[in-house]
Amino acid sequence: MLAQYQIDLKRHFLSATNIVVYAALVILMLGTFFAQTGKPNTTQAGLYSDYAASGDALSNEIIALRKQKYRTASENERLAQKVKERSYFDQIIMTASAGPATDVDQLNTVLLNYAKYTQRVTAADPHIRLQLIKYTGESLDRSLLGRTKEVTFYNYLLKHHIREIPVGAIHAPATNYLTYAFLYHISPFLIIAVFLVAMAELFTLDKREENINFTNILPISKFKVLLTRVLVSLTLYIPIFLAAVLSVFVVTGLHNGWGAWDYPLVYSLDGKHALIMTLAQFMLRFIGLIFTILLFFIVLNTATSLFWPTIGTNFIIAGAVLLTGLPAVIAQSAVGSIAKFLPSAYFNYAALILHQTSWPTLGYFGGIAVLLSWAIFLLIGTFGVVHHRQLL
Amino acid sequence: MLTVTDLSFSFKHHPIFDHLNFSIHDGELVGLVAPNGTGKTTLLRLLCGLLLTAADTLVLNDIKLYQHRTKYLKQLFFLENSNQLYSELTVADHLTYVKAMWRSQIDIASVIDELEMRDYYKKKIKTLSLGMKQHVLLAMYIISDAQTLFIDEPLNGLDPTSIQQFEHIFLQLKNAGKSMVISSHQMDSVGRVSDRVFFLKDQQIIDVKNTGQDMLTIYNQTFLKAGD
Repeated sequence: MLAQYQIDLKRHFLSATNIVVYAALVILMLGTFFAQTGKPNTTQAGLYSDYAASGDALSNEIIALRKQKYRTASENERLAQKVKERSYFDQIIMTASAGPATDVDQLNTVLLNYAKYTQRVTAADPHIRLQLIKYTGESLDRSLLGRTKEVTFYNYLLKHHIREIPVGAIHAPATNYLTYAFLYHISPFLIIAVFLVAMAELFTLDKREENINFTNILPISKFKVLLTRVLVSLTLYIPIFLAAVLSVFVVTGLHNGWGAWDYPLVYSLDGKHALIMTLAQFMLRFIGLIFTILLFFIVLNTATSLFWPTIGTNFIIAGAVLLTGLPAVIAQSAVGSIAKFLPSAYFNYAALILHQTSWPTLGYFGGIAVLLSWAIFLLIGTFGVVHHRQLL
Repeated sequence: MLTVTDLSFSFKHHPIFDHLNFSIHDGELVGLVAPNGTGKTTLLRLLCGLLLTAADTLVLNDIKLYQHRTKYLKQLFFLENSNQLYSELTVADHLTYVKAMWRSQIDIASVIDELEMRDYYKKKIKTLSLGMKQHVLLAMYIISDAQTLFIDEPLNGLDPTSIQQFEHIFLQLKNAGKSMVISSHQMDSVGRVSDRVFFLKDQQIIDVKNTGQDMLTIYNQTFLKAGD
């Protein structure tokens, strides 16, 4: 089996498809980088502008309320509320007005203070409409969990003396750039689809190059040949993916700075409490999950190539399975509670890792277990088909 | 010994072979002769299990193909033509691979020397001429050390010197106890090396013992219509 692995690896290693896959991944990941090339770094100015815009909205509301000659009791309450909010915003805007020279801890302190205030108010009455900071490119979360997440986030930033880097940051440092790319900028389905093309090519190479009959007279079980191909695929795709990630990290790092792996992402396991996941933890989980997803699709291709040995058919079948992981499909009520036992529930790695899925799942490790179980199930099915054919 | 019992095969309802029965003994070299499209390659594919046959049709040294496929295949080697070589890999890659897969003890270097392949041993298959590729194929057969060899038109693209070299090696392998079925259109060569010749005609095998008669005359008598 070692000789089979060695020759298969050498054959597929020399394939031009590997270069294409690597290039496609790098181009996908560098999309934001290219779009920002030549632009000045306006991240801090943008943040200030976000604070100021929220402050202005607040001021306008206060002015409008004050202009009313006769205010009801609830309007007086609302005015008092807005004045209180405005006082927090004044501190934030004043502290942030120094631009890049702003003291990080001071800014984090005033942002944390406001986050704590909004958390208290929301906890007391979730219907009170607070003026929240609307960051460019991010959605507002008015829920108590959203407020709790913000408190946890600024607490962490303050404790670790880290400057906030928003999702829409221009020239984000490499650590943030990569994480945001996988979380927000590139669809997980696109990354997986790139590999599906490569898999369809790899698993049909024998047929296309007309040396399938050589493979079929080898004095080893056909199942071992297929198993070898699974190992070869993993041996190729893991380094290709890591090389693409490393290349993007180096390119963005040299241009934008390297950043810190302990920068926080906030998530919640139970919908009540907020937890911190560092960028390093995210990347480790992401790599673990994407490799498991790739393994599942490799095994799926192994099975389908037994019946349909053409690139197009293999890609279409694997692509169709991939599309069942789209939120619009997997979150359908028709799929119901069985969704969490389907591999499709775990293709959207970004949502899964940050526990933001709108469909039932078994969590990160449960997802890995489900994907591996399906891969094993498919392998057993493949073994059954091959064994049956050899007995014919 | 290869024993074939009641072998029938049809392609899209068109019968190719009809109830064939034959044996090939150890150390026997059988020539396989027929006009193009008659089924020479199909027969060789059937003998290797590349095409489906009935369960008990093929027995090689007491091993039935569909009971012990791996053991059956371990005893034979068949590579249809040089197009099935891996074009991006080198000659060395192929020979090392075959040696490992068939768990052979044959020394690669001595085969390379015998077939005078030293100059292109490290070259990729895609850079070789047809004659060179035929040498690579023959080297793979030798290195596999399989007991039974099915060789499909090995003399295509060879110069007269190489043809003599190949015939010499076929006889060496036969003397070493290998069973061989070699398909060819070169009747003079078939006459020189074969113990028996299978002429494929009308879905049957006409088994002719080679006693030194002129094989081309027999071919003409078998396949050419009166007046041709």
